Amino acid sequence: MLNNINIAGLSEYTNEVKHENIQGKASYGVKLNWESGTKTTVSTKNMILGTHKLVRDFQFTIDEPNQLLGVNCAPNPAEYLLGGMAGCMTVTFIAGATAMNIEIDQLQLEIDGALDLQGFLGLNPDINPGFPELKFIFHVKGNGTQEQYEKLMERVTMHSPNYNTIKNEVKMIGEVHT
Amino acid sequence: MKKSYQDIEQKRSEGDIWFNDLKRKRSQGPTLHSNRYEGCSASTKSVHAGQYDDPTTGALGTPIFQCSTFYLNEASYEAIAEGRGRDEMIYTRYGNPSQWSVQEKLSALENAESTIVFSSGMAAISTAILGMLDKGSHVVSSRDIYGGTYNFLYEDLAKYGMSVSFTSPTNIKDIEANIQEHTKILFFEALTNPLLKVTPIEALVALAKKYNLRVIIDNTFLTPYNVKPLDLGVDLVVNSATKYLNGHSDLIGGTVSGSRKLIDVIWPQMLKNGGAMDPHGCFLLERSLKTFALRMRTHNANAMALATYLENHSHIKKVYYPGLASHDQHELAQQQLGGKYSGMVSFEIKGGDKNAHSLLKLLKLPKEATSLGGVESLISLPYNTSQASLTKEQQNAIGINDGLIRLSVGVEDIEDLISDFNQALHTIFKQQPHYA
Repeated sequence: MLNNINIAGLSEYTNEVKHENIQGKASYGVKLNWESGTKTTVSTKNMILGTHKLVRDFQFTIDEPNQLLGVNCAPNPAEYLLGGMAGCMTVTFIAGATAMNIEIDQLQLEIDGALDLQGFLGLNPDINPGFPELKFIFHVKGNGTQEQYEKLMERVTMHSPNYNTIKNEVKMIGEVHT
Repeated sequence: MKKSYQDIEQKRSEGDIWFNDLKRKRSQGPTLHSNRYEGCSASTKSVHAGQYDDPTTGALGTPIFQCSTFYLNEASYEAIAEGRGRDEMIYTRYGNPSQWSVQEKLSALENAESTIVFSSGMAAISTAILGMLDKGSHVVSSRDIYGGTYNFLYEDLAKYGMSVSFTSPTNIKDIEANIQEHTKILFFEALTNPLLKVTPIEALVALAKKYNLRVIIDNTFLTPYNVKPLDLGVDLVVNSATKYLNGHSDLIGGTVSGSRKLIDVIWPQMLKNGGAMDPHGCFLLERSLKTFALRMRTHNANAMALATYLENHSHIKKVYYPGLASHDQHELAQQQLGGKYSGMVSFEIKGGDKNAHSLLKLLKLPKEATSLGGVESLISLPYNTSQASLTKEQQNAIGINDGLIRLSVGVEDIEDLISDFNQALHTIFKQQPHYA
């Protein structure tokens, strides 16, 4: 299979969703448990894809570096955020390349951003606590042209779910249960 | 549409396509030509559906494509590149015209979009279960399940980091109470072995919908002639083809049928586990299936007559047969099976296992052998065959009592079968006190 992507399966799924929209509905969730200090453990909740359960029996640990009061035993929340976006952008890029008949030999994605912790620390209400800007670079080796790769990057910005979750406004609904 | 890029090759070469442009949709099969006889009934489908008549020679009937591999060509390379190898002839474990023909016949009989034939019933069952499960998944199944399936679920799922709970096959509340957060499938038999309990399929499907689960039904004891689980909303139906589907006690095989979407999920699991059916086995199964409906009619009728005879015999303690009014779930059986109650009869003989063993020795027509569904009647004791892996306590919990006998009623003349039981029972009980 080109790039080890089953494009026939993707085609079948696309056409299934075209005729039965509910098959494209994917519900996700995570449950985080605070361990101690800055260390937390995340368990993935089961997904519902269409109308059926997919068991998601995975866990990962989050921490902070020593300098930010953690014990530095795992990536921190910002790194997971960027990693989650990068993973999603890569899936979109490689599946798109396969559809376009481009064989990819190597693909790396770098994402960089800087945020100002004055916002987190409450020192300046005018400073956005989040990332004001993210830069990303696709490093690609394959039989495509620069023009094709740029078109693919444009497609990633149009179709990648995680990219669009970060780029677009998301309605946040919070509650506290005791 | 077979190819993903049908009619969009130009657009694709210009690099201007996205997933919404892709053309391939799922279709039933795979098949060399669609031949389902969809408007017809069971006998006609049994005889004709799926058959591949060779256009070069004009030979009537599917040839045996006894080959392990096929010439590679542009179409096969393209299929491999796109990931649609199930629709091309590449290698016999992947697919072979002998498999496709019998699979089409089975799909026609099951009202399925797609079927895979396996080298045994257990290959079909284990592959269907593994193919449907994710890491950490949990299965709810029945305490009464066939011993081979029980062993796979109980002994092997844990090796894959998965788990199982066994519960009642008939009580929906008990089944619901066993559903956990990671439960993914409900695996039950339409008619249980050996006590012939009827699983309420529609209620099971409704329960699965409530919890977003999948339902797999092993329909070996009933077959699609008696009930079509897919019509009742089940996701996958499995059969040991060794039994009624082949029906001649000369082949080991299994089947999994369902939507093309789900069977395409099972197919790569089959490639990894092996267990594809050999072309010669496919030929035997396809030939046997031509008389499937004919045989099932006789199995059902003979079993009903023999069950009635046994129930009226003074030295038979209890008869288990869903067609009898005395069966605990006769009403459900009437509604779910529509008067077709299978060729299996279980019964308890007075005097326990000692007399049960004597009966097996004295009967001349039913052969003392495990397995079922053959043209010849087969008889065995569950405690030391199909349920031998259960402890005595587990056997008692599901009702395998002293003296229980399982009979697969063949297609012999019913008068001969009844006469044979008469002589055997008479010989046993005439030597015992108070025999009338």
